[in-house]
Amino acid sequence: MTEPRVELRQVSKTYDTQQGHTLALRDVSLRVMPGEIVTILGPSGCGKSTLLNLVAGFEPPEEGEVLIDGQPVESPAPDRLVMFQEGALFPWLRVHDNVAFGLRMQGVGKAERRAQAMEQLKTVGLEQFSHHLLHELSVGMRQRVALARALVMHPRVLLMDEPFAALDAQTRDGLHATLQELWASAGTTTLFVTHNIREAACLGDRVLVMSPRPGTIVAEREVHAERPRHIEDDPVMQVARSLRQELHAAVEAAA
Amino acid sequence: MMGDPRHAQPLRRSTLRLPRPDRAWWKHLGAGVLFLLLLFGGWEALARMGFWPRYLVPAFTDVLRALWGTAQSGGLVAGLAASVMRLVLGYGIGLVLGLGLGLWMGRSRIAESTLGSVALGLQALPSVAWLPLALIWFGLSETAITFVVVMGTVFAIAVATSTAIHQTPHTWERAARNLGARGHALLLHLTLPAALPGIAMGMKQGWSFAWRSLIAAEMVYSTVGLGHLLMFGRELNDLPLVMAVMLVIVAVGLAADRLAFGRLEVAVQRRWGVGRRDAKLPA
Ligand SMILES: Nc1ncnc2c1ncn2[C@@H]1O[C@H](COP(=O)(O)OP(=O)(O)OP(=O)(O)O)[C@@H](O)[C@H]1O
Ligand SMILES: [Mg+2]
Repeated sequence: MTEPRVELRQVSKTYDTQQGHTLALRDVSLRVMPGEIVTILGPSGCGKSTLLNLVAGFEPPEEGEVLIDGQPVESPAPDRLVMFQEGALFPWLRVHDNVAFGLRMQGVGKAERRAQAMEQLKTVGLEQFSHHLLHELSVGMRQRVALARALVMHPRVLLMDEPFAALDAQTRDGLHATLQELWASAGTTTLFVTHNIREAACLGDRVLVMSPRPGTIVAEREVHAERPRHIEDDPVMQVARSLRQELHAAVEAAA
Repeated sequence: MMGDPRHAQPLRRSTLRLPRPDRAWWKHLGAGVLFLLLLFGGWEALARMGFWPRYLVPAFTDVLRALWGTAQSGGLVAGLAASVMRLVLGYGIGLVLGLGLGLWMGRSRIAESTLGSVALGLQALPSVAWLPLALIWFGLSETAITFVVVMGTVFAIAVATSTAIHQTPHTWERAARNLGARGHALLLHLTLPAALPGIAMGMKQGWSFAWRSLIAAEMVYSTVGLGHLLMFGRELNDLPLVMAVMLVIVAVGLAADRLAFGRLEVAVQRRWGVGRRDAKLPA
């Protein structure tokens, strides 16, 4: 039996603030196998970002264990890269320097990292814009840059935190297509968080449904539809319908 | 965005690019010059009408004549040179100290909660108020004046730097750490560039504080310098000379802004995509 790439064992997380304690995650267990794409679907505030932050190593879990290839996560590292909702690109760097940032931190030489960055930019269709500044790009293009910046590091896991939530439908569909191409060629294990039901069904090999806060996993569904998928494909829509019911049930149960 | 931008923008070091002067810029400049001509012309006419004695309200040409006179006697050049040297020295020291202090306050919570409020308080103290202390410590010396200029600069830059660091979006730091930035690399490749727009503003403000504190200190105690020249004019009851020196002081301040600090600020803002996207070159 292969070992899971990502494993959470009975993870709980509480935030202490001046207003009191917030139990963000309760008793979450999940496994993501190498090469698998798992989407996590949950209502706003249920702890989706918290979950990714724990896997990324930005914060420690309060209880339970977070494991990558069987090793406990201790701190952030480029083998688990987060793609943030706002992109979190660096505006003082040109596009190719943004993509090469992680390589630079690893001490990769200038010519080599430029070559790798250009290669990666091709995979997201932005080689023409390598020398642009970020404010010269559209929001969708910036998310492509963020994707390239993560993938050029060949992470063991890609952690995506609602990366397309701010995009219009057309731009988002384009990014869904690019992402599926990249998965097909690079096979990057991915944990993808969203509150969009159809997006979860479209992108995931498996969808995990989270309850409202305190977040816990209440349902799981495999999606067998063929790839590449489009968000309006019938099989995707069917899965989305049953996911919608499960999500509603979870929200009702919490209310 | 069409065509091949790689040819339009060849590979090169990521320099801070400045916008090129365009038509609007020339127009802006023209309006400025015209306004100055009108202003000085009006002044000249008013003074010559003779409502007031000329030694109390000199004409613009009287001031120019005084300027020419002190320039020829070498007094202006000596004073200007002395002041600018002190300014550059004091500002340089203040900049280095201010950046260091600001980085420290920006990155250490303890430094922020202790030094932070002290720096904020001292920033509000007019720096010429340091002069008596400086004179007691260093005697009647260049060091005393430099000290006052440093004090005028350092807190403005420190406060601006630490504020800029605190305002850096949290996700930038997370992203950089996620991509493997640690320690010095994090400081060099994230903290500093992220804070640069704020630091540039602090540098500009620090410069004007330094200039003011220098002139003030030179007026109280100095044997050479523009501030001294001002007081010298007062002792001679030579108002045209006083006004001429004032003009020079304003001109130096403006020149520094136009040639260095204002440009730095605009260039950084453009590159970072913050502030007004259409930020103009200062005329
Ligand atoms: N740093 C923090 N300090 C205190 N409370 C926090 C912190 N981060 C998150 N929380 C709380 O934990 C809960 C879960 O937050 P989280 O950001 O993980 O939700 P989410 O599912 O990502 O929501 P959204 O879909 O709106 O992004 C929320 O109630 C939030 O208030
Ligand atoms: Mg979130």
